[in-house]
Amino acid sequence: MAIVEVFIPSVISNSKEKARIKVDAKDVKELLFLLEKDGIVERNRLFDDSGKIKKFLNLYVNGKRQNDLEIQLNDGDEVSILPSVAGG
Amino acid sequence: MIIGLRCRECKKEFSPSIRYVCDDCFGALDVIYDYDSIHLTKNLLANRENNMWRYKELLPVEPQDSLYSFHSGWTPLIKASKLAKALGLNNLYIKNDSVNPTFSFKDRPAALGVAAALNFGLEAVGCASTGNLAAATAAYAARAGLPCYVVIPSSIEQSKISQAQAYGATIIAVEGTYDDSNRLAAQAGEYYNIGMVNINLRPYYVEGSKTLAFEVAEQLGWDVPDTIVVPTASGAMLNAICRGFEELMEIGFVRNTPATIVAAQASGCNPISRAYKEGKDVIMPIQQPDTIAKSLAIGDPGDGIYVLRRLRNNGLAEDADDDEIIEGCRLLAQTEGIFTEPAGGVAIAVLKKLVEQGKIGKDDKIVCYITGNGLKAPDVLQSILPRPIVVKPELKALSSILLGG
Repeated sequence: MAIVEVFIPSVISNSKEKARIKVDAKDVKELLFLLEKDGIVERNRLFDDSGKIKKFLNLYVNGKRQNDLEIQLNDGDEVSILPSVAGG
Repeated sequence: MIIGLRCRECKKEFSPSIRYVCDDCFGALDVIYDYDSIHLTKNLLANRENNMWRYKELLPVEPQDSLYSFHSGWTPLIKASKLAKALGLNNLYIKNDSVNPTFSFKDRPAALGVAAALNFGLEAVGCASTGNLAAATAAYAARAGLPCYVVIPSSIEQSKISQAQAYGATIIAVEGTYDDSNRLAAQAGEYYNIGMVNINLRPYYVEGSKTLAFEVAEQLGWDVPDTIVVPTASGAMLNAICRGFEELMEIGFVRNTPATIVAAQASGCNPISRAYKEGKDVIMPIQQPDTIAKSLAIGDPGDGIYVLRRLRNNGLAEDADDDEIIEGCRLLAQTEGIFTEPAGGVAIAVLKKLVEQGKIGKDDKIVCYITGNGLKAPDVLQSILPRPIVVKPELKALSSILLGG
């Protein structure tokens, strides 16, 4: 298990308020399960019908974009779920 | 004049607010106008000041006095006869947007972004930037009296950093790419309640670049070019220019939109032109951009997919490598007297390539957008420029130089 810090923007969270919380999870999959269990984010807000992360959402671990939900987490990791950010 | 915001994907509508993605599908939001209530006429425009705010009916926010008085926009549209001749063209214009108050086109969207921040009562602004937006946001923030926080990749040109710092901005240089900076700025905007002009104020910000279309049409006597050449990074400017021409048609000011849209990219960061040339419908991000055109070094272009759709309909995409970009800068400077940063060299180089490939007609009315000033990245031309000739302060020392002896 690993204590990681999770950043959830208001447009994604159930409460419509941004969240910055610590969660104890071994991988991203478990992290998302726990976030749903605690009523912070609903999985169907994040994933499409085929189980993939929605087209305009990205998941980052320590600033690196990840699509693999099995990726192991380590103590102190920073996990963010963000809408695709149009830049420029 | 604005009704609200609309999701580009699922079309869900929202009231005007600090919101930049749809809360259902997370698609990007665009400002929507009530065109029927817009009573703008060409005569009305003739009596207005020559700046971007003359088109206020087609912009989402009215400027505060401190922003209005900066004289942004209404940059020259120059008939580029010498450059045209060099390229084998007959009807070429340069929209020289490098002479805005902060020396790039970014004055236009930054002005809208900061105006929106003031309207929403935000107490700080900022942006993610490849350099030009940093300076523009910082300058408008200075005029508005707001603190400014700029997030940039640590690799951008020192001259652009210095410019933004001179206006008082706090610079946060990220050890990573532009896309890393962008993500961090998005989080900072949300967690610290900062109006990041190109992120959480984006629907308002992008509207500023429409004025690049309005001005060109008006400067051509309410005519529309056959072809426009647009340096392209995120794709936001190209999209906005196209929407600008479409809106002019919507309100009856012009009868058509440009027949050919050209997206010009750097070969070292060409996600859009690569997808276009490979016939793909999705953009594969460039993980590590490598080009001297740092203002175009956006590997994961937010509006890329929308640009690609436009190009599939009526456009072209091409890219230019560093040598071609430098040659483009040199050619523009030595034919038309316009010193541009590498992004402008990209536009010229791509135009040259497409003419050589026979994809652009020599009699087409072409407008090439030059969007950044050469003084922002003066070092890039040094590799091809001669060293100064050092002489003793004696007239005889000049004879071999001035007489060619």
